[in-house]
Amino acid sequence: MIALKHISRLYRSDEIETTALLDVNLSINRGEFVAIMGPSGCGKSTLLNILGTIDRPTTGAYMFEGADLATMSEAGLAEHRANHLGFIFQSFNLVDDLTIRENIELGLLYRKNLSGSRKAMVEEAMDQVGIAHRARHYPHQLSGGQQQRAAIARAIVGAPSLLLADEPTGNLDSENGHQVMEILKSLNAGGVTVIMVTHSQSQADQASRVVNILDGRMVLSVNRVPA
Amino acid sequence: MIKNTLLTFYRVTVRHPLYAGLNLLGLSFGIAVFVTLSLYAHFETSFESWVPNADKIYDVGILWTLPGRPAQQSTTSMGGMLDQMHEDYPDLVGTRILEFNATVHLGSDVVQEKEQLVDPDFFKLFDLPLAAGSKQGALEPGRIMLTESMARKYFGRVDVVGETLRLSDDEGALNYTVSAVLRDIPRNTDRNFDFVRLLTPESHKLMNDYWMHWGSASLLTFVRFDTQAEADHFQAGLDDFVDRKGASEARNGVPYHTSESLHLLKLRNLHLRDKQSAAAVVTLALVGLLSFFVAAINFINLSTARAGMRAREVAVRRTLGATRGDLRLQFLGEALLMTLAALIAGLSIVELSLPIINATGGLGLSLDYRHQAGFLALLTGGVLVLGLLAGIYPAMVLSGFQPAQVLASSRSPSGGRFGMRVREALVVVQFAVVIAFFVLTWGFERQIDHMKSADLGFQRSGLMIVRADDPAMTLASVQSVITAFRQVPGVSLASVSNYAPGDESYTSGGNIKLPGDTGAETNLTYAAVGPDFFATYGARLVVGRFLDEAHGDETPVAEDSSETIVIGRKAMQSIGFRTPEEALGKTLRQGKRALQIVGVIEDLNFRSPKDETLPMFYYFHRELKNNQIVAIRYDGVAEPEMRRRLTDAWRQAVPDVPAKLVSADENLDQYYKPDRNRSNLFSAGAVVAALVGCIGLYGMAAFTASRRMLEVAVRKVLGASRRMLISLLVGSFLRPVLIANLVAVPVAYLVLSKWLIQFNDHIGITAVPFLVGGGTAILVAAATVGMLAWNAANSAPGRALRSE
Ligand SMILES: Nc1ncnc2c1ncn2[C@@H]1O[C@H](COP(=O)(O)OP(=O)(O)O)[C@@H](O)[C@H]1O
Ligand SMILES: [Mg+2]
Repeated sequence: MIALKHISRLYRSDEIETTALLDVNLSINRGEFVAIMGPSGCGKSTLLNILGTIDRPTTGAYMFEGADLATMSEAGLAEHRANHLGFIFQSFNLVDDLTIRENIELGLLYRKNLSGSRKAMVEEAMDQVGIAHRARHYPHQLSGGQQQRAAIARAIVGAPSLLLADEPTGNLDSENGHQVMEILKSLNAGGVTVIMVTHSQSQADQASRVVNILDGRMVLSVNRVPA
Repeated sequence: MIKNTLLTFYRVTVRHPLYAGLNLLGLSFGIAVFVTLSLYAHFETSFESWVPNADKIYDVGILWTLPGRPAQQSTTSMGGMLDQMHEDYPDLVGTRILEFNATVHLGSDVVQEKEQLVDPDFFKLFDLPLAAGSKQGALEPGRIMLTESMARKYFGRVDVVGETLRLSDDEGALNYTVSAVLRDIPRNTDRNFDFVRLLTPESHKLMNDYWMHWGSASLLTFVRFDTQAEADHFQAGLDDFVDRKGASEARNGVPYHTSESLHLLKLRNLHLRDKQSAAAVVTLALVGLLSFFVAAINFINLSTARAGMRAREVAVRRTLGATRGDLRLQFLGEALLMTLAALIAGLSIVELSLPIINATGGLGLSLDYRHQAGFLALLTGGVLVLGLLAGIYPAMVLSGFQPAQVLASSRSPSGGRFGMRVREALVVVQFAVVIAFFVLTWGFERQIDHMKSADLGFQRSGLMIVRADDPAMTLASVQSVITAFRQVPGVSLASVSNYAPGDESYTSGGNIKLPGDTGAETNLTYAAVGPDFFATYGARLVVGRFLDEAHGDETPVAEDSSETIVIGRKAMQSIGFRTPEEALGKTLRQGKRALQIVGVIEDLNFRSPKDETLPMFYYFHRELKNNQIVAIRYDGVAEPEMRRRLTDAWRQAVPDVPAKLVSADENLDQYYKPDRNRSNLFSAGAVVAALVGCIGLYGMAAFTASRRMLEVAVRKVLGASRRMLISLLVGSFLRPVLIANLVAVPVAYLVLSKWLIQFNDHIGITAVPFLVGGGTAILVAAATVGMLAWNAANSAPGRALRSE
């Protein structure tokens, strides 16, 4: 499904040049649950952003189901994100001024030619994460765990094939973190490919593969049989 | 997508009422002031534009160039001039308009109306629409036309053609048959066409000698030229025409047109003929534009500042697949919605305030959506452009952010140093305008107060004036009125003269000389006064005495006689006396007449404070033949009560003549009113601009404070004191206000001094308004920012740190 070849990402500012990623080669198959691990500042978010096409590699090729994303136009990438990707962040990033339902609807807003009723899709996504009873609330009225579940609903409402999660449980207590993990796992079981950045070894243990990164380099990629 | 833009707009508005309210309020008030002042400018510049073919109609005005006086343009001309023009230009199309006072009986009431006497060609110039009747034969002897309102007033209905109306004017009391009913005249006019009838030989015979007397000016003469070339050609021949017809007035071989020349004045330009009025209207239009400008700046500032806080939302939308185009559309759409809402609110404010403005200013402003469609379209266009401007900045900047970086950083990006600089510059402009407006408002109001309290040489409170010049009044009835007035309780004095406060007409006394003086002659103005005149007005004697019967001051009729006069200070100076004492007892020569000065008084300023004081002399008549104006001095009685008592006394003495009582203050008010109106409109504009400015500052400060919450929290953790934090935040906002002061002060000073020059007697400019205006701006800025800074500095640092 995904093939990264010789991906590097350099940040150039006035004096310093930071190498966030160096010559990363990675293939991911449909249906995998990949956990990315590594110390802070090693390039995990950079890798995830490149996978999510909101950052471009400095060099290297990115193939997504046969399409070359590294050279695709901005508009093409936007459409790609709308149709195939879902994002989940550590800090939820819900829009403060919209209700939970409206936030989730945003996940469909930029998608063209949708089959089926938007309303039904939103309801279904809310049910899937168990947030329907909070549809009319604003984000600040919800607990962190509820906010993150709403954010997941927004990410999956358009039925993406790839779900990208950057430390989705980083701001949550273990109970809520556990719930989020369960949701991600059940989504994965339903066929969605999940790539998740995490610091937690126990969460990584639940993934089908663990990718370890150190100083911008991929040092280890372990395929596991889920317990 | 549109639905989502609407939804987001609605949510942002409802969830941030302060921001949305400030933004909406500021812009809608700016729009309201702009629209109101535009309507005012339109009103003032549209006088007579409703007259069909107004551009082809000209008034023949006189430019007087008299020795010792500044040149003066009048709109009136000699009664017989048009007849003389027809002798030389047989094809000339023209009409005179002579205004008479007419008395009409309405039930038991006697009402005074204005009546216009015109020539048969009237409709060839003023092609006024009719409500009833026909123009054919409308202007024949014994017939009269009146407006719809007059028809309703006197007959209770509009179609009154064929009815009879009894009217008494200079020609006596006569019956007229209504020949046609004119549609009502719009408010934007100086022409009064309530009652219109033919100017007959009988009516101008009343002016006997003056009808064909060069040097006199008693009515308006209008002529029509279809092309500019024809008008120019006619104008070119006017000096020769004056010299030919007025030859007998020429002296010492100097052509007559050097002292009296004729000029074509476009009908449409008559209203704003004097440059000061025109300048005032332009100024107000500019104030309207500036208010809008300040509000627009404010709006752009607040919108962009607010939008900057939505960077995170933008980044999230990008991850959800929004293109830059989608986001640009969203921000433009939100800004346009906001401006449209402000437009509607602004127009509503205008609609609500127009009745008040019209009532207090005696104006006829109206928002006419059908006839002012062009203006409104322009306004809407302007507002939409503003919306685009306010939306484009965030649309461009925000959609350009790299979502990965926005999401990675804990703070929202600010739009960079450039954005901050632009916003600071806008705050400077805004505050400069506000400070300048404050100074100018102060200056205008002070000058108007000054004019109202200025020493006019007489005591204007406790003084009533009534014209006793109705043709129906005889010498005896004037005397009986004065006698009746003197008996009214509370009245101390009553006197008669032919010149009174607020009286625009005056008599030029021709040229006066000191015997033996070979230099240029001086042109003085004179007034005839009756017994007690000086005492009634409370005039102040400098040397000598007032005029009275006891000294035998009665002025003889004979041309070569000797008479006694009192002069004002200004006349004393114009003749060339250095001190009042030097003037006292001297004899002046006016033709064959000898005028002996028996007193010098402080000048009586009966005219506009903008005009120069007239050089006046006063002579005595026990009884005045024409133009009698009675003045009444009273004390210890409230004005309405005195008005009632005097009206009763008048009715008893002369029941058939309407009483036209006015207080001296009312009569003088015409001079202050236009300036006061304009000053009020200006103040309104200035206040709103200031308000909008403060709103803008508050919004900016609130925005900055909230942006710097994290910085403040960190500094606190590091041990900064509350005072340090507040001065840090306040300091960063005082700089633009200080710069604004530097810009505003010289500009305001220049404009104010230029405006003040037009007044004969004007106030000086002191440092006070600059200090107060600048100080207030700094205070307001410091207070609003300080308040927010206080909150920021007081909040627990943990909260700010956690929420990021
Ligand atoms: N916009 C940027 N400019 C410069 N350096 C950056 C930028 N974003 C990330 N970096 C650097 O790239 C490296 C990897 O960052 P990141 O992918 O965020 O790490 P992680 O998510 O693993 O903690 C870090 O050294 C970081 O400082
Ligand atoms: Mg990271």
